[in-house]
Amino acid sequence: MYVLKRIFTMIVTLWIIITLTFLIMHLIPGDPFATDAKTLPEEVLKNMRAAYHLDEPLSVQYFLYLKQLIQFDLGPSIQSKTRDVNTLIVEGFGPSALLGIQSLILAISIGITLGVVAALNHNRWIDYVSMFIAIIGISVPSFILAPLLIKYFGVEWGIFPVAAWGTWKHTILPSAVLAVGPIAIIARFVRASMIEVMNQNYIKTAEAKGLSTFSVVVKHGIRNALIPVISFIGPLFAAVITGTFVIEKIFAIPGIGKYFVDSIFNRDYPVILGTTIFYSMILIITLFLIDILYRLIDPRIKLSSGGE
Amino acid sequence: MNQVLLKEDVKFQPLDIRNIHQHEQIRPSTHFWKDVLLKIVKNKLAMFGFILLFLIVLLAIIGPHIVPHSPTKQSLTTGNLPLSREHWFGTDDLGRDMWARTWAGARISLTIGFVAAAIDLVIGVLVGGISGYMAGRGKIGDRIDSFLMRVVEVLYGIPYLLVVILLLVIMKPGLLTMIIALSITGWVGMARIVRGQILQLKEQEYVLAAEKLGTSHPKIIIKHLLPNMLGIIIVNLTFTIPQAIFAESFLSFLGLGVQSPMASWGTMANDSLGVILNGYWWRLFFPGLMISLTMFAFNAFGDGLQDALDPRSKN
Amino acid sequence: MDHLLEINNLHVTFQTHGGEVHAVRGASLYLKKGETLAVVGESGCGKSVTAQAIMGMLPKPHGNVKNGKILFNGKEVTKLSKKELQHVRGKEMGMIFQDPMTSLNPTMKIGKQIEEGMVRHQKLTKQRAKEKTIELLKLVGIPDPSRRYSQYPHEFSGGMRQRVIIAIALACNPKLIVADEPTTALDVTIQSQILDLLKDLQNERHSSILMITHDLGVVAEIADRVAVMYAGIIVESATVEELFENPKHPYTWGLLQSIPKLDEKNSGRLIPIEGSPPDLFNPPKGCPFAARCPYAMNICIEQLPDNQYFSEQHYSMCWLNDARAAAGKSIHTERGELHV
Repeated sequence: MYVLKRIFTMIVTLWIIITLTFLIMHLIPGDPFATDAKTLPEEVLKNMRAAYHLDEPLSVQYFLYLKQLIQFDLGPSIQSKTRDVNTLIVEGFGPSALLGIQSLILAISIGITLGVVAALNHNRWIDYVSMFIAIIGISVPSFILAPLLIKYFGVEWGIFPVAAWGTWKHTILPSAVLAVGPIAIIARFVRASMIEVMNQNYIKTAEAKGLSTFSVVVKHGIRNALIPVISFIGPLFAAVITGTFVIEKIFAIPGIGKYFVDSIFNRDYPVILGTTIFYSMILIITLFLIDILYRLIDPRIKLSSGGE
Repeated sequence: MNQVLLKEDVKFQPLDIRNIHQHEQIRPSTHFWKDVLLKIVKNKLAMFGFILLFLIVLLAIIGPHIVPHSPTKQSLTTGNLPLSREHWFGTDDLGRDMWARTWAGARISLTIGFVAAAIDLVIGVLVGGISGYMAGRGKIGDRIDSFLMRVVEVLYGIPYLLVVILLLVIMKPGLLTMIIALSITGWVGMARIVRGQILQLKEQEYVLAAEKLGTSHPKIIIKHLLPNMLGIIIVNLTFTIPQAIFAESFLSFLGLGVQSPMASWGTMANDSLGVILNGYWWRLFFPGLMISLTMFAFNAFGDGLQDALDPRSKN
Repeated sequence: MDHLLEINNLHVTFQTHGGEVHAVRGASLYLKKGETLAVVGESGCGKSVTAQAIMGMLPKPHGNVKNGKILFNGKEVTKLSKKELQHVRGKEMGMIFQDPMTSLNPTMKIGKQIEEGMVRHQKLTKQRAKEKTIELLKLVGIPDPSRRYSQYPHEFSGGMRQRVIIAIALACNPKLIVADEPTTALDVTIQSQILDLLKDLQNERHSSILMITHDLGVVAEIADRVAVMYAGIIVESATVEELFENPKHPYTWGLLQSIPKLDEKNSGRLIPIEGSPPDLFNPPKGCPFAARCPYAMNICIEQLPDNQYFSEQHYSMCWLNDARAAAGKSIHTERGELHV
């Protein structure tokens, strides 16, 4: 029941996003054929507009677009005449996903370690140092960090290859930059959660059993502290996705993020529309899966009921 | 009792009540907000953040005026000059003074941060407040609550930056556009927090008691609900302001923010991308440093405030 | 002298921002094998801190034993290392906590939580541990134990959870059970069930119980001896009979007067003890109860008296019992009539 309700909300949200995106795109004053208009005869332009259904009324265009979407067809690209939006996304998905997953794994593992270590040393210097690092991690934007790393690690010291894409070595720097913010966010969140859990009475019960410090911390502490962290992966995922826009642009990585940013400058509406919908879909499905995962992991919440 | 008491025995006479209180030491009770202030003043990192913030605001106000250069005046003969007595932060490729530009950028960043956060605050508190207060008050109340919550839920599901980017694509770039774009979905977080707080507070005995005793709704809201939510709202503000500032610089960096000749930290960082490898490090360093310092200051201060407002941290 | 537990002149302090809190200020007590000692007092008197000190579980790094000895089963608890303590806790002494709602790990199956200690201390196989756990669940009165074994705490009522916590404390058959207000958070009917259970288990297993409570009703029901604690000091100690029949300290009088009695003829109002306990940041140098004591004398605020013994097991720390306190005698007789 709960799952069905969530799926329904998910579809409604997605539909609203599609509609809003569609409307916004078509309210734009600019003309995607503005550059072509000077060179091409009126007749050709007219045909091109017709090919993209730009001559039809908005409502017709809207339903045509919805029909396409249901068939998982995001339409043609205006800028790149040879490839449609589907091809762009399929091509760009590999690098973007690799980058995203790599940095998420990095962020989650380092973030949790840092947060737990800080919490276990609450109000001691390790705690202060970790949290100072975490605040700096949040404060320095990736688009500042990335050029600096490229300049030093890439150009000056030549440790990592830059401005190309191919081997795994090329993914290290961008993944690291992308992970910095999320590491800091997770570390702070885990620390707060862990401090709270370690002050719970059931930790005292565990200590009174004479369990080893390791058992108390891992089985009773970390396990409980990490449950709320799961619900945090959603926003984190969003942060990583938006992070890829900038990172892919700076590192010249042929991912969806780069296509998205390029399409904004080129006013390539079908691509903007398609990628926005694609991102929203991924994000909404991720949020949904995380919600289900949360309910599976936390025995206090039943999947069948609506919540508390 | 007529017999003469031994000296020792005086001690065994009943105690004069007035003596007792001289021996009792009662610590003064502290007022909540005074306590918060004391705690935050003691927190070195938070105070450092506060002072930093004060300096940034101060320089944003006076910074551009204490040098004889305009932030927008171009001069091809003075392009990409390094730091000097004349140009404290150097110049950019169009010969504009980086010091003046950096602080002109600070004005834009801070304005966007504060105004967007203020709009978020107003809409968020209103929507969250109405929703939370109406919940459980008859059929109409519940319906208002569930309608508002559906709206919030859907907006929450939409990726924040994507919406902002879409809006910026179709609107004329500029300060106002940026503020509108940032606040159009930004209030959702605040609304959720406020609603959650109100639902929780409404169940508290003192609010129930006030209601049963016939206290009017506005009075309950002003006397009981608002003061108890103030802390969490302020803390949330100290995190939404830097979030807006960050979003602004991020979008400006993507070329969607305020446009030349106006200066913004994000735009300046973007402009520097092509030349950073040529050794013009100051082009990226100063705007980058300022964004980072501002974010750091807000976060450090916000963290301290959050700790100070937590009644469980009795240090 | 077969004392299982002996505490001598225990001092515990807590380091806070406001200064040093003297939570326990020279408490001494002992507990024999198979005996139940109740430590009574109001909140903040240091009784729970004493229990934590015995378990070696003072909140670190703020809480510290400043002085004194805790001798348990021939071991000096305050001198044990963290590792050594972990092998004493759970195995030789178990603890029952006050709040059953928050004292169980919400994301771990009940059976697992009971088993853990056994697996660690007795090196049981998984199968054997499970059998013993189900036996234990039955023993503490949980119906359908094999199904309950794999349920989570939120599926249990408060009383049932407290039975689980008792099962955890008993898992390794410890010699000492420290029970910190085990019935305070429970309904009255369930309170007496839990106390009965504890009594039965004690008879069966011959363990000693140190019962921390503020409830004299609990004391009357379960304890053999009582220690009355006030502001970090044990002001009176006696067998239950002696304490209820012949209390010697004004604070004990006050406590006894503030319990409701069913057979009170004049539908007697409860008599509260006026005032509040002293600030333990700056504990008074004399008797800590002097400021609230209706019989206080000049000496009371200047100097703390020594223990005065009335029988082998009954002693009290009050100047009224001093020979020089002329008034003392008359007050005692007067009170004796008034109370019994």
